[in-house]
Parts: sequence; structure tokens; C-alpha cells
Amino acid sequence: MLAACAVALCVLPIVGLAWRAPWSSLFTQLGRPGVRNALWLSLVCSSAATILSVAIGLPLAWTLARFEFRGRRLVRALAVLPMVLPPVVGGLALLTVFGRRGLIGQWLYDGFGVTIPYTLWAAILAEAFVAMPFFVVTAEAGLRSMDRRFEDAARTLGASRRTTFGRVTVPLVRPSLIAGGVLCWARALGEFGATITFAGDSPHTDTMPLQIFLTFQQDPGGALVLSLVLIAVSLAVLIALRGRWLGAQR
Amino acid sequence: MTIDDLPAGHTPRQPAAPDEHPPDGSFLACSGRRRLGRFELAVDYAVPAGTTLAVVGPNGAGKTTLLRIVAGLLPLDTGVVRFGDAVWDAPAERRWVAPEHRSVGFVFQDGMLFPHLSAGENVAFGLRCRGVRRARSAKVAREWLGRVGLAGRFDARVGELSGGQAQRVALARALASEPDVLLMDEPLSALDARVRGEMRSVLAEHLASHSGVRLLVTHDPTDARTLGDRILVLEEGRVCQQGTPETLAPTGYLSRLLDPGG
Repeated sequence: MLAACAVALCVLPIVGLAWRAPWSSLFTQLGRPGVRNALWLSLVCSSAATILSVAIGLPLAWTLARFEFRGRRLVRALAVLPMVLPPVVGGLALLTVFGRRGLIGQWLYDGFGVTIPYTLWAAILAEAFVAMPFFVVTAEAGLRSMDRRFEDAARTLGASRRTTFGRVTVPLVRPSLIAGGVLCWARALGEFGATITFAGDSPHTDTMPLQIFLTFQQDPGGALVLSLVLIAVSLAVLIALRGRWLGAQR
Repeated sequence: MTIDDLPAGHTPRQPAAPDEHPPDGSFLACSGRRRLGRFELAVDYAVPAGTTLAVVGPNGAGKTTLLRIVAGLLPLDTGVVRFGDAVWDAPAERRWVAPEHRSVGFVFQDGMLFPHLSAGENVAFGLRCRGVRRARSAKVAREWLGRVGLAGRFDARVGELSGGQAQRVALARALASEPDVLLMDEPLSALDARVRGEMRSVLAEHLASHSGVRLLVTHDPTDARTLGDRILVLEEGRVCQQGTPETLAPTGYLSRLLDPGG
């Protein structure tokens, strides 16, 4: 009975969304250049944020899973902090670092004339900040549960640390890496709070969640339709990935 | 800082220390200590080339730890591991040769074949890591599969192999790069009795044709007597006895091992 309540809590809002959405306006909404731009931006930013998260998150997950060192628990806690941090706070925090008067931003601006906030890069950075922990946590769990004697076997067969990682560790934990990447991507796709704070509202940073929020203020029906479009796109991508990577292993 | 941050690769050669062993690079010597939590392994032994040393002892005696130290999967706290005049591990001199630069082959208890590779790719793995080209390493891997009685199974998935077949592939994989030191950790104990006798004779045959040092960890007296030229008895991290099967005194663990009913 309680389990049914849980399912209802997850499913009912989506049913409500579909029920109340003015379906007739679907094509006019999709035709708006702002919407198409937002959809495209969302896909680009969340994919870029995922690539960034894997590139720097995998070495972190590996270090956390494979080495005993002082402060490891602290590093892990810090690495997953964005998961529990309100995204708006995350956005503000990013501004204090990358803003024109920020810790690094000032140096970037004075030295190279580079401004990060309110650009496409800010949107990517904000999404990666919020979504990377999902990848790190999943990847670390996968690395920990792997039998390390596979790595030992590779080392005795003449594989360096690097070769062992690429040829043995990564292939063996691939399901975890894919699951973590998908979680990370899905979280990045829906990111709103940090993005609007750090990247703001502009044609370069209006991802779907921002577009939905902006539309909602003038045209609540339109916002419902856009929400469904976002759900449909993310489901389509997840199913396509599943068919391609997870299905191939069965 | 981990041990792998120390300079890797072969350490420069140095004149062999004067001792009872011939300085011609044909023996493995290990003497030293390693602590793991509350357990401490303290050993001192040497094995000449062409000899199989069977390491026996009860569970938790440190048999696997002993092998891991020789393989370079675990550094010594104090002491020396040496093969011939190459020093593999000497913490006092900050010398360390990473496992991939030691000429060892390791056969694990349950094979540890890489499940994402085929049987043949598993055997070729070591050669590929050591820079042998794909075609050449595949050819050598096929030969080795033939030698362990698995000709034609190059493309077999690891999951399709029976326990005995998997262990033969593991043996072929360890031997394919022709290591100076072959380390075997209970290579027969995961097999059922019928396959076990068969695998024992495969093992005996390959041990006889291997010219280097062999270390065989086992808790089975038959394995120790039939495969070992010499036996080392390990109990609670200490060497109790060393000798040939004929000269060992049947005391302690060995007496229970040889005469389980008594």
C-alpha cells in the first residue's frame, strides 16, 4: 500500500502534466525559435557537462576507491557536497569564484580578458558542478565492488598502472560508469537553480528548464507543454542509450 | 606517497652480495617481514632455478602474502627480495621494481581471467603489454592454448569455459611471457576431484619444462609431494620447516596434513 503511494507520488504529477497541457499549442510552442534554441542548448550543455564530469570525476572516483590517505573521507564529503547544496547557493558560490571580482574570475578577466559568468561556459560549469557528484558516487561504488585481483593479474602480466586502468579496470566497471554518466547527464539536463544564478537568462544560456520557468510567467499552458517536451527528450535519449550500450551486453 | 611513486623500472645492477648462492642470476631469494594489521609474515628462503617450492600451511598462515611479496603486489616492510643479482624490493635502500617490470607469472586460485576478453586474448594480454605485436602475440597465444590442451578455443568467451579449462587458460596466460618466476596460488583447489587429477598432470608437465623458479602454494599434501621438489611449511606467518618431501619431520601442521586421521 505504501509502495503504491510512492509510485503514485512519482507518476501522478506527470499524469497531471499530460492531462492539463494544451496539446493543440504543441506545434506553435515547438515553432518558437526560443524553444528550439533552448532544446538544443540543453542537449549541448548537459552533454558537455557530462563529458567534463567524466574527465575529471573518473580520476577522483579512482583515487577515492583505490587509495587510503589522510582526509579521504573529507575529500569525498566535499566532492558530493553539491548534491546536498541548494542549487541556487551553488550558483552563488560559483559566482564568488568565477565572477569578474571572484577568486579565479578576477585573474582570468585581468590576465586574459575572459569572462565566464552569463556565458555558455557558465551554463556548462554550473551543470557540471551540480551533476558531477552523481557520476563520482556511482563510479566509486563500481570501482570498490570490483575484485581488485583482476588488476593484480594485469600488473603481473606486465601492464603498467595506466594500462591496467584502461584495459582492465574501465572495461570491468563499464556498467557503473555508464550508469553514473546517465545519472549525471539527466541531472544536468534538468539543472535550473545554479544555471540561472551563475549563467543568467540570455540566448546563450537559456536551457529548457530556464525557458520553461520564463514561459510559465506569461503562459502557464505553454510551460506545461515545454515540460512534456523536456521529459520526452530525456526519456528518448535514455532509451536510445540503453538500447545501444546496456542492451549490447545482454 | 605510495610505493609506486618511487622510481619504477629495473634497478641498476650491482655486484651480487657474497652468500651461499651462485651469483649467476638463477635463484630467487626472499628474506624479510611484512605486517598486515595484527598479522606479520617473516620469511627467509631461497629457491634455485629449475626447482618447485611447495608452500604449505593452514589458512591464514600467510601463503598468499608470501606470493604477493615476490610478485610486487605487496612491498616488504624490511628485508630483500632478489632474483639473481637483480634486487626487486629492498626498502632499506629504497629500491623497488614494480610488478610489471618483474619477470613473474601469477596463477590465481580462481583463475582471474579477464571476463571481457576471450580465452586467447587473455593469454595474449601479457605479450601485448610487453610490446609484442598483435599478430605475433595471437600466434604465441594459440600455441600456448594448444600446449594446455585447448587448441582451437582462442575465441571462447571466459564464461563458456569450465573450471578446469579456465585454470588451464590461466596457466597458459602466466607462462606465455616466459617468466623467470612462476607463482601459483592454490591453482587446483577450486577444481572438483575429477578435473583436479587431470590438471595436476598438466601442471606437472609444464613445471618440468619451465626453466625458472616455481612457487606453489597449496594446502593439499598430494599436490605438495607430487609437484614440489622442496617444501616450505608456513604457520602463523613463520617458516616452521623447509626441506625435501623425504627429509621433513612430520611435526606440527605437517603431521596433521600428512595424517589427517591421527
